[in-house]
Amino acid sequence: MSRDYFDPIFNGTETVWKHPCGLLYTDGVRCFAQDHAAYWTLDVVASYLPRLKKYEFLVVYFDVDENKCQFHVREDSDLPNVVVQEIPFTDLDVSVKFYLIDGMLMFPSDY
Amino acid sequence: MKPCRYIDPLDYSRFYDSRKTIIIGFSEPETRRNNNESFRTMGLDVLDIYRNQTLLLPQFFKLPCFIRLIDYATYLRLEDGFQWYIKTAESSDLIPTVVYPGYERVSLLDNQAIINPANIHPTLLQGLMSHIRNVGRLE
Repeated sequence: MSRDYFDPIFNGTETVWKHPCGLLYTDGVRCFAQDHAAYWTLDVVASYLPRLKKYEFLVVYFDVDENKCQFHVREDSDLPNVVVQEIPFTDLDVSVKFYLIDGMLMFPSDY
Repeated sequence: MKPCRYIDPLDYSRFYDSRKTIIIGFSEPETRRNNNESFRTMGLDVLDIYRNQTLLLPQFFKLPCFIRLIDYATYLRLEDGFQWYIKTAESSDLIPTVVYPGYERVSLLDNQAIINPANIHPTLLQGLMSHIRNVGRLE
């Protein structure tokens, strides 16, 4: 079953933002984190950076079902998960898919 | 170190509450700006030692706070100070310092007060970030 992923459609970024843990991210990701009180999603991705830095391109998912969320990361959408973490409770109201390219997190529309 | 309020060493009109003060030390201007902004947005008092490194770097270990975040270049500049700090402070008084970027190859002094994010479990790091965000909500 295909899932609808939120994307604010910024189509690129004017500023490259940096999370305290070293993760880079775009204006669109920042806007999403602010508007949805979802900076925790950046914390989750950033916490895995040491493990993920060997990959040039990754697809990062936060799949929300009711109040649960599954964070998982793949090299491509049809490849197995590189990382999985279950988040037992969230009030995030959308699922999101990011690309993580050379340490920079972005929405597909930013790419 | 007991919680306290203190005056900014460079600006006498500015106060810090040590319970919600984070000290940041990032040598790269862009990273400084980003971290300053993001931690202030979280409601934290941010003391940026690169605002005047000549004056503030030597005071790094004396400025009260609940956590410090610095980059590796800053860590190297302070390594002698860290050696002194971990030998002279009560272990229960040690304030944690997180050193970014956390990579396995980076060599840090082995002490509970010096954290390399690459060596801790991701959920522990997420918990640490949640704690920092929650501290910003303290009244």
